[in-house]
Amino acid sequence: MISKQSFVFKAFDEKSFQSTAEVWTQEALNGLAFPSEIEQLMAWAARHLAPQEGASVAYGIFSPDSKVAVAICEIVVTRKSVRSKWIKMLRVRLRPQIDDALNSTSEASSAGLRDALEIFIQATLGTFKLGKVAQANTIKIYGRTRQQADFLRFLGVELEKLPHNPMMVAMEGKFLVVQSA
Amino acid sequence: MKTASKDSSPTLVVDFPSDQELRSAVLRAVENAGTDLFKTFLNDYKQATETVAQAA
Repeated sequence: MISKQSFVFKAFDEKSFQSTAEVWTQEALNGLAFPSEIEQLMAWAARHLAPQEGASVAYGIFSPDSKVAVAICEIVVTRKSVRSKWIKMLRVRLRPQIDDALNSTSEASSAGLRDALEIFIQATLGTFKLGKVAQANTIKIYGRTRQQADFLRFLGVELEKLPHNPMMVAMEGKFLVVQSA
Repeated sequence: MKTASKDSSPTLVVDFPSDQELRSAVLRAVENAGTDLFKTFLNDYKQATETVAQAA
């Protein structure tokens, strides 16, 4: 378990990316993930640190005061027209230590679940905040598989139930689409 | 869609729920979906790099 504290969604800087790459790689080499998978992820992230409209960007989720991310999110900002801009959250990759705990059969599993839940909450909040900052009227969350789409349907139902609901919520293909009304 | 101005580059007024409302919606979704489905949501991304790239 990393901690029970809340996490922070933010862009990487050079130092935080280097720290994250080193720690994640070491954890993979220690058997908590496939090293080739982490190597591939870090190679992708290294090329996608700077926000650029229309391209994927790697954002980190961090414990307060830590330079090592507990998760990496892939986000895309896309302008469809002068009056339509999308933010897409495409994936959330957990730090190997948390991913291993989440999928363990030991007591660490419940701690991993708490961390994973807080990470997903921060990924969602961060994506919506980016939407406000970038004045993007549409938020899309991607679900590749049927199970992922099923989970997103549950999330869509709960978003629609919110008392302050200025949105239109729908599943469109593999995306949960939330549009500012 | 609401706009703040009517010039050629209108500023969009984007209105989404508060952080607290979003947090409560996620918590209820995980509670209703079950933790296994939630775990699947996070785990599956590991093998999905190629398809995610296509979704971008």
